[in-house]
Amino acid sequence: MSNQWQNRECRLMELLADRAVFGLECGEEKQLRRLLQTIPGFDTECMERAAATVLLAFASVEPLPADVRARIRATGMRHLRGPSQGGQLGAGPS
Amino acid sequence: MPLTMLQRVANSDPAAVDECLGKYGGLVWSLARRLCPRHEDAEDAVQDIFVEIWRKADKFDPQIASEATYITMIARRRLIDRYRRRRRDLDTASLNEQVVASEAEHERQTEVSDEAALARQHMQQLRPEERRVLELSINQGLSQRQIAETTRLPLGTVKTHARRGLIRLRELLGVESVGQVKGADR
Repeated sequence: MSNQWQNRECRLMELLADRAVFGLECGEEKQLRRLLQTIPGFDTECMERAAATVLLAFASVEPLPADVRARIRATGMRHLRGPSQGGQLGAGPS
Repeated sequence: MPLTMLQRVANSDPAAVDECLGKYGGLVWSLARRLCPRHEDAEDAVQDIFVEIWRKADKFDPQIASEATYITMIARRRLIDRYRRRRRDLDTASLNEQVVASEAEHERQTEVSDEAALARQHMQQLRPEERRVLELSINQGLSQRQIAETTRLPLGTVKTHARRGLIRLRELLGVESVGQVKGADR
């Protein structure tokens, strides 16, 4: 692997980490987009998953209120019916 | 190999939707309550998050993340978006609500606790200063400047600790760096 490739990958990792923790400035966002074009298929969510791990490590779970759960369940069942019947599960843009 | 819960959700299995709510409802609710002090905002956020989880269930890859991590990632992303939109209106009102969870739900939440324990093990492998900065930023929502003031570290050092800590965590999670397109892209 060339030094240039390694440098690009290192910078990409830094920018993805910065985005996952503090967010990026406009110029950094542009730099990130440019770098991603040079490394197609890069796992752009790797740092978000790491950040999610931090959140999970400190999570204290309290029960979902029953009425809220019932409403969300009803929404979920509507989505399960599929687009032809007014639902949209799995049909949205990724 | 049996399908995971999220894969069954993607296959429109109603039982999997129930299972998802039972297993992760408490986790998502707790995360929402932390960033949405108003009860009604938290309710909206949780609904929004679960719809997103169901929409992106087909993107879940058990080879690269646990369901708890994937769901937490989606929840965090949605909550940050909402927080940024609403932060000027946030207040510190809280609402205590007593809810009795079923035994089955307790068992499912124990599974989430196991995931959290594993995440804590990963965190313990970071250097103390990296762990502290990540805890203050991601868990407590402090800005880079606020962390610098709290820890009396230079701004640049705060960013360096955050980067190194997160990159180390990523390594611990065993994620390949290049060559794969994964997960729920924006």
